[in-house]
Amino acid sequence: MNAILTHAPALFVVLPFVAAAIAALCPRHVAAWIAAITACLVLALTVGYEISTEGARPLIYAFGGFAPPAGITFRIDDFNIIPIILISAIGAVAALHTLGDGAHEASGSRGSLAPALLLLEIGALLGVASTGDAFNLFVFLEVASVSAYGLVALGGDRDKRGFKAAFDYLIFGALGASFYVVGVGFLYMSTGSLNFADIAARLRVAPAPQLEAAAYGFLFTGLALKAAMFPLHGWLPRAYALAPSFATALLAGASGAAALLALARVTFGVFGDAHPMIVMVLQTLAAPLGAAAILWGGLRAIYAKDARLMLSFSAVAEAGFLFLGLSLGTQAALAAVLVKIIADGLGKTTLFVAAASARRLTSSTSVESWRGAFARQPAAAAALSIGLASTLGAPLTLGFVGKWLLVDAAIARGWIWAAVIMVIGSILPVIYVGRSLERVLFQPGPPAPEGVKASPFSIAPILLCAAALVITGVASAPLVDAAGSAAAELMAEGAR
Amino acid sequence: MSLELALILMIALPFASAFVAAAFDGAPDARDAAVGLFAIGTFALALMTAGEIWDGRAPALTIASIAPGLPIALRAEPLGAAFAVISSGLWLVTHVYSIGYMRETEDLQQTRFFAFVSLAVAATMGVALSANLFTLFIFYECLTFATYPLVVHYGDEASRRAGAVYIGILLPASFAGLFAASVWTYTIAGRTDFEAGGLLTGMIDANLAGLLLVLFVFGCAKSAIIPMHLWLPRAMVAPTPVSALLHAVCVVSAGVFAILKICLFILGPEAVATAVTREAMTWIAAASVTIASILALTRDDIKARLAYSTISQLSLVILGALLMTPTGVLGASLQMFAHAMAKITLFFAAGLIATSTGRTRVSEYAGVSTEAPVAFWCFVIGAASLVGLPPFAGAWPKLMLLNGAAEAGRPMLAALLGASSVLTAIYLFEPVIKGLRPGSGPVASRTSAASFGAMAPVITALGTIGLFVFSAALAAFLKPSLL
Repeated sequence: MNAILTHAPALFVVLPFVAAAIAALCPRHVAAWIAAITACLVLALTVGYEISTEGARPLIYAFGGFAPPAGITFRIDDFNIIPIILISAIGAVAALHTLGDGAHEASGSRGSLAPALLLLEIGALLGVASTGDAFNLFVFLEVASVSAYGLVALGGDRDKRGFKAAFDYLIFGALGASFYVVGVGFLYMSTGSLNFADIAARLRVAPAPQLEAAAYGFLFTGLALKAAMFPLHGWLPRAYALAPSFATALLAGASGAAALLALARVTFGVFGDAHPMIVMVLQTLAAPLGAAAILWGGLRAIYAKDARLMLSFSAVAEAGFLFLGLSLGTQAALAAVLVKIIADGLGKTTLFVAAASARRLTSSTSVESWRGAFARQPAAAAALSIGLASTLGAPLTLGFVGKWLLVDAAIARGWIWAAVIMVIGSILPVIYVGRSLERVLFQPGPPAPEGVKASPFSIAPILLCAAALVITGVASAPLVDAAGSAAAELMAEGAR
Repeated sequence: MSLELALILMIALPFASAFVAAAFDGAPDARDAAVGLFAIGTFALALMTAGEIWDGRAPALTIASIAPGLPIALRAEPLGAAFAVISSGLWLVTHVYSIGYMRETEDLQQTRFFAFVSLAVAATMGVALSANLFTLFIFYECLTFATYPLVVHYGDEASRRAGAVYIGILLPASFAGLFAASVWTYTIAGRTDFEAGGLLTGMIDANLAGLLLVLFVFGCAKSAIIPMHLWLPRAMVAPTPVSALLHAVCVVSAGVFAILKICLFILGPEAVATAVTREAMTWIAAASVTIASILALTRDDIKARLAYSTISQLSLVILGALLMTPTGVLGASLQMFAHAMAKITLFFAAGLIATSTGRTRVSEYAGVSTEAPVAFWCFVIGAASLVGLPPFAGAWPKLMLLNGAAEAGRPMLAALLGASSVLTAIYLFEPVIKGLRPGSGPVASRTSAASFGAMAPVITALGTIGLFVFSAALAAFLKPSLL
């Protein structure tokens, strides 16, 4: 048991990767079970690790026993442990969904490919969140992206536009990766190291302003592309709308979060919030573009007729909130961003899975098809409603807490304009969330077709997610405290 | 029973009542009786809590904590406790009335109606008992969500449009105003507790106070101050008991209650007095009083007339809160309660007249006094109270508001208050005078003048007299909360 916990950080990644290889060789049904069981095991592992290392973090895990800076390390600290659990939880929900209502979305010869890609994606995202090495981060980003392209392309079987969406995603993703790796190159040129902690230390000893500026510019652009920052979000809506629902549940919930997390680590943990380049990029790029994303995503979501497209544009707006939050550059803002990441992740996963379950009964993807959902399948509709309420930032959900903390951070920073944008950004969902909720809860709809029932493998996990959104929205003090200390730790790391 | 338990039960009982109502879906008699018992229980608890406060205790309870300085907490103080007593008491009366109304109109969604009324009352109790602005905001939003299904009760196109306007005004206004100003308060003070003398006193300058005042007053769009009032006349498509509930028990009352409480305990008298926008807001409230009265005059539909009357009468409360003189604030508080009692009487009476004689327009009111005498005379009492005639509840607050305006050295406002009473008299006594004339026989005959619900307006009409008699006691009870 002890040995498992000691090597747990490695297992976060190794376990899903090995299982992915096995799953790819198995028949479809077996592969789906392998994915589900592995994802649940990884979730158990991350939660167990969090509990057993309470107070002992930060922990550095050196792969193969090679010490940093030469060896590759994973660094698990208070800052990334919460997102690590979030990613593995979302992974488990998505993997279970392939056993449930998502099963029919990947059939035929590619049936066992879907679970395998899902596992690769989970492992790679956990790697992105855990790694303490700049180049290793690139590797995991690429594994995550490549599996994501595959996952999106699976949607092409049902709707040919899915292939084009996957191709667009590939182009944007490759661009992002190139920018990131060029940034790593500059970083290596200026410091001679690839280990984040080591780079941070060397930057203080021997600053090289121009190289650093170039490095950060490339790193920021690359990661911003991966996190779908406006106006580099073009790939996201169609990719999310056309991918199979289990893929979207994972990507929308976890992949943007992982990229943003990496960006936060590079920004505040490596360069530090006082670095002139950071201040410049955050204030002149991240802040206005984040604000634009909030407005643009919100408006597009209002005009989207397709439910998945609406949720995707809502995700673009939420990414805007995160970027605007990051650009505030204060500890309180970073804590708020962390809370918002959790709220958005749980919310989007719940929504995409619930939408897929609702879709099975109506075989339509428009918002109109949600009519009467509550009468047909109360459980799925309840999860859908709570997810929507959290997107709206309704009180007693985690979305509300995140919104409150972000606006508080903006006012405390003196950026009243940012607070105004955030408030407008929380009003826009009134229209599309209100319209959706009215259809789900109050409008009559057609009865459910005979013999079709929502699968518990899809419904039970999202009910748990919805419950988590409410519980953490009512008694969120522990979570807010944890986010606060996580942000404090990261800021302190960068300030050294 | 411990006082803290009573606090939480005042919210939990109506909340549970909703689920009990849903559970008894198939047995209407058991359902209505059960909800009635819950209403009695809530009312009793509210009275008990008020009694404890009278004895000098101040029960408080923290339910959960969101972040440092942001607990979901309850605390009973005189103003909130009085609001809880009036609201839960009127819930009980409304319930009696609704049982009759819903059965008479053979409503198809009775269970849903009773369940959401219960939820709305639970949220209102939360608003009344909130210990801080954060908690108040949460319950305020819950109230919006709980009342939406009531507004769209009939499910037809008109109801759905009314519902869209209802949500479309209340939610954005609360986000842009109440939410933003609440967060701002938290950013400045690090907490949002309601404190005697005002939490923000000494922490904000006149400009910021002015901005926060605007955000708070317009953010509480439930108060229906012009121009945030558009949802209220439209929401009249809902059944009459819902109108009674929106106007007197829950929504509009909760809106002005929130504004009053925020002015007293968050901004504080000092900040309100110095706020740069105070003058403008005072005139907006005054304009709201006058314009709504004039609009009421032009409405022939009796429910629409009563709706505009609510806007006018409750803008008076906001006006009183902005005066921030001891008499003005006391007058504002009493006006809130007096209006609730009188307006619910008017709605009950108008609803009974409509169901028993089929008359829904002022122009059709001739003969009402003989066709539905009980309801008609209750209507007269309610009207007299709203106008401010003794011996009815509305008399004292009108007098105090006049005094308050004079005290603040605002003769213009005092004159305007007098004029608004005259307007009230015109738009409410018009149906009364019409009703006294002989009619040409019922427009549509429906048998029910002596139904179960016919007691309700009698009870509330007696209530307006009771409030008049016990005004001094109520004022003494409220005193520790006010200036």
